[in-house]
Amino acid sequence: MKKRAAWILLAIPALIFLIFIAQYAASPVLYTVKDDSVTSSHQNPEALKQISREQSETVLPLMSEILGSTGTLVLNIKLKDFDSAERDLKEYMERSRQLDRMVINLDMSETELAEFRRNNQKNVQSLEELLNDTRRFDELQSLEIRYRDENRPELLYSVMYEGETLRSRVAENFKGYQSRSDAMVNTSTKFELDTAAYEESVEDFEEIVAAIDAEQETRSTTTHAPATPYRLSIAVTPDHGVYRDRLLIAGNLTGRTIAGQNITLFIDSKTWTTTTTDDGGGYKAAFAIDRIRAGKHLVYAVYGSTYSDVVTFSVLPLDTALTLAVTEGTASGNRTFSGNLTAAGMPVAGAPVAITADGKAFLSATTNSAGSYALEGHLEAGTYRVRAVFDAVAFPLNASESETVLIEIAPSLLESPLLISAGILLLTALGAVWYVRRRRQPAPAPEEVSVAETEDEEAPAPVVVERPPVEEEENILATFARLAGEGSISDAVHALYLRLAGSIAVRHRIDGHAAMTPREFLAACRSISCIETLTRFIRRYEAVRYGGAVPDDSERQELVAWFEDLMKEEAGSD
Amino acid sequence: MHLASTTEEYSRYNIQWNGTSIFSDLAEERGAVEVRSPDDLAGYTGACLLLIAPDTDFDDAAAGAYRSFLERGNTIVLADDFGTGNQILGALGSEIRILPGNLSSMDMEYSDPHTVIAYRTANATLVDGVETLMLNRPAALEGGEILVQTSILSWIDADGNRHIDAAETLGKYGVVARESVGAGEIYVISDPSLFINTMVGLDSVRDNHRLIGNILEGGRPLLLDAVASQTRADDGIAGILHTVKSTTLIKTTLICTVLLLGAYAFRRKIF
Repeated sequence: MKKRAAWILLAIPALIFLIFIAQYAASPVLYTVKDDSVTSSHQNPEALKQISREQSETVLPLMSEILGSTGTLVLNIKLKDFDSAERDLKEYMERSRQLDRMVINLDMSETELAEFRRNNQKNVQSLEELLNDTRRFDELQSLEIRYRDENRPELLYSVMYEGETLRSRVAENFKGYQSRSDAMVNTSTKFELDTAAYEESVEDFEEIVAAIDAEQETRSTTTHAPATPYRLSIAVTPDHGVYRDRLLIAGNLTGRTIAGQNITLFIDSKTWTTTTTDDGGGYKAAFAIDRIRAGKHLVYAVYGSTYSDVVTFSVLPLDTALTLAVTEGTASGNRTFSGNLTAAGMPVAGAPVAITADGKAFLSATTNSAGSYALEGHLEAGTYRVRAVFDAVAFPLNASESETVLIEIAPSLLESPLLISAGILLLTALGAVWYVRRRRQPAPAPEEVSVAETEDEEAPAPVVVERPPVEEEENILATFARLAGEGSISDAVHALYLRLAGSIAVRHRIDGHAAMTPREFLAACRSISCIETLTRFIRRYEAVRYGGAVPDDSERQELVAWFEDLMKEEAGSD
Repeated sequence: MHLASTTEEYSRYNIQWNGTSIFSDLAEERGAVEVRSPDDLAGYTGACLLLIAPDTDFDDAAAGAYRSFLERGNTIVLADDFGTGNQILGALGSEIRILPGNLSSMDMEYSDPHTVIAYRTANATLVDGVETLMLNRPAALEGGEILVQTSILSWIDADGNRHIDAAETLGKYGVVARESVGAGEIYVISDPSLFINTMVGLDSVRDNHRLIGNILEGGRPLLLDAVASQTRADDGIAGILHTVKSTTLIKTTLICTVLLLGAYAFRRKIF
């Protein structure tokens, strides 16, 4: 009964202790310097990681290089050194990508730096188009010379039309580049950057526009429509529109055979569609404004070698609205991100939407025909500021961002303190049950175990093996006799002591006897029945082993007799 | 050596990370004198008075004494980021003002934008040899001659989220400023945390040690303000022990009492 009460008395505080400590199971460190590292005035740097990050020494030179790149790039385009311009463009694009990454990594998406980055992204696209268009315009000059030499007026006329398109595009491009100039210069000035090269790029761009304008004007006045028996008219109604509007492109073919003729329509010098004339020579096609950049566009119609005039229409940009809702996903740590993209209340289909977490894009989706998107993504445990972003120049739509949604991803169940606590309690309970059962088992019969024979004085602990046979005991006496005969009486008595101590230790459950001095071992054996003989044996052993005494024959026989008596006594006590 | 400690911010008796015990010991080793009353300022010329994190305003008498001290050609170094020092600056006739707020920067020494790196922009005795400083939740300064300022990638983190939001603006902000008043000089440092134990104890962090060295070893008498500075804070046991340590009669009585108790215990063979 007393034993049970003692168990209960021990179990209760152990349980209380476990309950208290379980709350720290998920984070077992009871105190770190971080626990006490922040006040309203300062924080303890020792609780922070030293990073010595001077971003201004990276960001500002990069911005400066970007501004410088525009200057040399546009200058080389103006000089028609297209190979150099190509290299400049590559460098410029690479620097711009570096800036993009930096702004995202620094999570500075709401700063003037981000505005600089956005304007620069548009400039990259603008200058890439400028390089392509001016290079093509330059090629048109060669073609014009060739076609004139070959006297091919219809091809000359197509050159003139493409030149017209390029002139229009470059002029439109310049308008955009120029419109961003003030914002770029203002931001750069605030960041104390030299804007001279960038401002020169605007001036050079303007000169390129003027040069193309002049050349195209000359070309159009010197190029005459090929003599054909047909005339082709064209008109766009209305001459402007916004996303999802439909423009009617229509005209008439006049001449000898006008019914059922194929008319090819070109938008911005690229074949758009082919339509057929009706009985009266009329043709028409509806152009739905969808994926086309905002701005001015050129249209003309071609029938054989008969060209219509070039007419223009404008696509006006619309503001967009983007929503974002975050709901639980199908798996732990997953979230479903969904929303709608609309422009003036109309759904925007097929548009790319990026999902950003703390400024970094980690998912992308495409809207369906209803302007909706939905996708699932995984985030590690933590708190995130999530936003959806739409920014696609291929659409005549202004960029937009959703409201920021703050989401918190909880640690998975395996990391939950509750589960860890339960696990610890379960393991503890299992351990306790195992321990109690083990204690209740009867001690193994001593006949079954003994101490391994060891001659090694430095053996750390006895190894439990099967009890040695009687012959082995005889061997130890033989060993004693041999060592004594060789004059190593100290080793001889030591061998006897080791065997005797090992045997007694096993039988009487004396732990660590190998680490004990003979006196300590004797003290540990005070309750055994043959303590007096053991005392005499150990006194004699110490005198020989440590005192250097050399026993005579009778003393040796006496020592052996004590050993045998003790071993027999131990065997008898079993 | 400190017999006991307090946890009061900036207290010279606080030996923990947020106290100023190390700096105070360094100053005392160099002969700094503690100013416990405005009257203690009388008679000084060419001295430097250091106020760390003032938490009280000056009354007219104190303002007069400090202003007189300044106009006699002395120097006052005021370190404050809470803006309490603005009343003192006004009383001293200074144009410099402290703009309380979480000044943050992308140029950071530790993984927190509140550990701002600032750069020297002008020369002055106080910042001699100082190129960069690491500040710990500093404020911004306006007025005076800016000696040290942050980089352009800095902002005042109004909502304290360590992130620059649309309503927050990037810009350079002064953190050490200087101004002449009469024959004297005022220096304002917008971060008293420069003097706390953990900051003073940091090895090789920017030129902070140089700035502190310029204050401690400026070749002029150094006075440590204990009138308005939070360094004087000594609450609880630390306060009692400080009183005991600084009052000879109490100290003598206490030693005698301990000796008598020891003698009594020895006689009665208690030990």
